[in-house]
Amino acid sequence: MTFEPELVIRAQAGDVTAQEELVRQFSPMVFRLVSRFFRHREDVEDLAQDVFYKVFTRIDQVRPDENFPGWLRRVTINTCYDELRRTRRRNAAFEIYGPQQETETVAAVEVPAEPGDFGIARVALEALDPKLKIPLILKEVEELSVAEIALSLGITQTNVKVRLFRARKKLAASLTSLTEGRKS
Amino acid sequence: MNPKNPKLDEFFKSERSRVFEPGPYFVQRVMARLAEQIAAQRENGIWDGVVAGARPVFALAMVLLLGIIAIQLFLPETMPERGPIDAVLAPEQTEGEHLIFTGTEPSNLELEKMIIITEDGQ
Repeated sequence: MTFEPELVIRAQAGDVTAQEELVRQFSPMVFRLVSRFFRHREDVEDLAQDVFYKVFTRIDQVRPDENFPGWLRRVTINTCYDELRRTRRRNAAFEIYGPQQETETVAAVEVPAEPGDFGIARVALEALDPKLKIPLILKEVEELSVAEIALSLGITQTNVKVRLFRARKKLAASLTSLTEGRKS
Repeated sequence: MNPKNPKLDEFFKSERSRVFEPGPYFVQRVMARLAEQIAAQRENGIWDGVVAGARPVFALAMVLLLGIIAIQLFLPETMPERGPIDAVLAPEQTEGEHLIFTGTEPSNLELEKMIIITEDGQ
């Protein structure tokens, strides 16, 4: 994909055609990134719209010499992170304050049957804290380097390595307990 | 991720292929939403301006208020010795009347007698 930095300058000046062109060029990248964290098409589409809304309301912050795709990736990841945290808080609140019947029926973790038997791995991954889940997915699925992850999340490379280590450890522990739970 | 866990490797590989593509009208939807939000911002623009404009005025008022309170706290309060009515009436007052009005204790017996005479006279 050939990206012309001039498009950003025109979009900053309020040129609607340039804004449309930016959305057209970068929406596949944004969709791909958001798909890594969310499983429903509607959620992905809503979040991708949020990303572009944020991008155009803050486009003045982008310097002409700045790496626009990198900046866009940061905005996308931050948007996903905020949404994952909100979802997690909602779920936690529902577990505490939700109807009693629900908590009783959800006592046993329901593992969806999936091709290749990835249900357990998915449940274990979903249970991870977004702080750990995001670097892990960026590393293993998006195949970014530690330096790129650090840049995208605005944290140090050491911090990324620590989070990756903790994520793997937690994932392994969850996998073990889920597999044992399934056997028994 | 973990080379010792091939199942997880397979899982991550399968995740790589799970990608949603933007629909044919995605660009239009984004632009419509953007236009909608900008229009909404313009509608609320007047009130945003009022709030934004009032902020420095409130800040200045607060600074002045705090300044006055600080001055009152740190500077000793000085009261005038007499008010304007006292000032007008003072030339017509006798020494006894002055002592009664100001509430000061007479310094000697003669003055005390003078006060008693003044009070009796009234």
